[in-house]
Amino acid sequence: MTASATRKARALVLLLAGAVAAASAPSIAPPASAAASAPLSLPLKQGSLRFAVIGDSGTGTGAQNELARLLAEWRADFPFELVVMMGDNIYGRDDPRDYRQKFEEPYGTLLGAGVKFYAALGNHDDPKQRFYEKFNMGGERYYSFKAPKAGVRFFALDSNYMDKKQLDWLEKELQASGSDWKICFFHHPLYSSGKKHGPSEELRTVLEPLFVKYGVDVVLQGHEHFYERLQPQHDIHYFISGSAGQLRRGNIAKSELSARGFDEDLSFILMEIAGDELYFQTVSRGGKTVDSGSFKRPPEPRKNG
Amino acid sequence: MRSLVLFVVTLAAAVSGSSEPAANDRARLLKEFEDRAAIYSQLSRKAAATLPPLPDKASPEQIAAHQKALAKAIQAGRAGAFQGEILFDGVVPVFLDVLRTDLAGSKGRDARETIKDGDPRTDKGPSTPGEPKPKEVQLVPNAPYPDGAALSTVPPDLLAKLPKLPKPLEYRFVGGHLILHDSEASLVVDYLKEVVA
Repeated sequence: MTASATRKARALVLLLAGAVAAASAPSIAPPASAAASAPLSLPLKQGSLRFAVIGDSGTGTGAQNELARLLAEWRADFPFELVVMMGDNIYGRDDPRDYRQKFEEPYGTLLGAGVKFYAALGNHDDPKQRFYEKFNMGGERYYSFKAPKAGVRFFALDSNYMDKKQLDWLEKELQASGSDWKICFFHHPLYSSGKKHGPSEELRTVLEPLFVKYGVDVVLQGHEHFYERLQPQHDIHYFISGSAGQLRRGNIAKSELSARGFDEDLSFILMEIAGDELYFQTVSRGGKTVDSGSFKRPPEPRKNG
Repeated sequence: MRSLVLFVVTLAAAVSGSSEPAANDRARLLKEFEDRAAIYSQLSRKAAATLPPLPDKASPEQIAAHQKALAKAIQAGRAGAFQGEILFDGVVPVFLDVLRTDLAGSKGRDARETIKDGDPRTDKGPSTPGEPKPKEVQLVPNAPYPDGAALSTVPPDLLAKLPKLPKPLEYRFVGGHLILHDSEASLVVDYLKEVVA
């Protein structure tokens, strides 16, 4: 059985559960070809940028491996070209065998297919990871890169150590960015309904004004070991994807800020950007679609928060 | 007579309150702190210059070997390192003034919570099968920061108020203690005890 067939078989079993979950989320019409075989709800538009989001992945456990395998299977139907990592990429010991066990082996299929990973640092990551070739950080703790298509620029931040130097750098980069889409990703969430950690309000105080001023569209974060999509704040769409290696079950508190939360299993997010629209689909380790939808980027100039 | 003079000086210091040095004293002490940190930075650069440069697209083996060699070279270069070498006695009140102002009471609650995030004493991270938990951080100048131990998050507001550090030094917290951490060689460089309640 091919990887794609395996995924489709699993998807059939979970179709009903997935449909129930998706029903409560903002939905988009799935393309006919995908709907016929699997619950892929992303449109696969020509020339779009497709990428995956994982966070808090590097546990080296069977759970991480299972989700990584599923991510590779989904790539058969949703050929993404890059993965962004929200930090805690290598938990615990991080000698060469750990880079293999906690990253290269779980994501070996994707790495072998030429998928590029871009990492942010978490509080369990040694900053020396910035030199690791397969994290594509260019030796920097914070960096930006332009996506290969669709006019998108990513900004990876080190939220563990947000000093003035980094803030100045970010402001300069955002200001100079002529990209249509600006996506920031880092470890600590500015908004969160997590019972254990919750939002990092100190970080929000220094980052959000820059995000608003320079029109950041999407913020991707980890640290909380669950999935959450927040209600847009100042026209910015916030996601938490911190359960690619472990789960904090039942950790999401009821909150008006939360648009959708999932803390019952590990998960990853798939995203597609085409023109002014971003489509997303969040998939659990069981193959269930736990959230999906789309939104348009707001017109410029953005109002000040 | 000498004892009496010493007593009077000590008494005067106690009465004036050593927690907040006068502005000109503060500037002088901070300058001295920066000079001491710069000496460490220079030592680190010199040590790194003796090693093959680490490419920005390195293998895990290259990264591990480079960090180990750098740590060894720095440890040899400051074999007599002692607590207070950079965070010297005179500057301690300046730090305590900033730290205790920012971290105290209900106003400092968020900052204290931030610091606890990734505190290596309490945040051991998830278990990986067959892997021992990271060792405890030893508050010993020149000691390696244990492989796999979490690094505390430092509140941005506090970072903006603490004196600037040259590369590769960073402020981190271990339990209630502030350490100067060499982020490239992963060493404990110096420390200040019990600054967070």
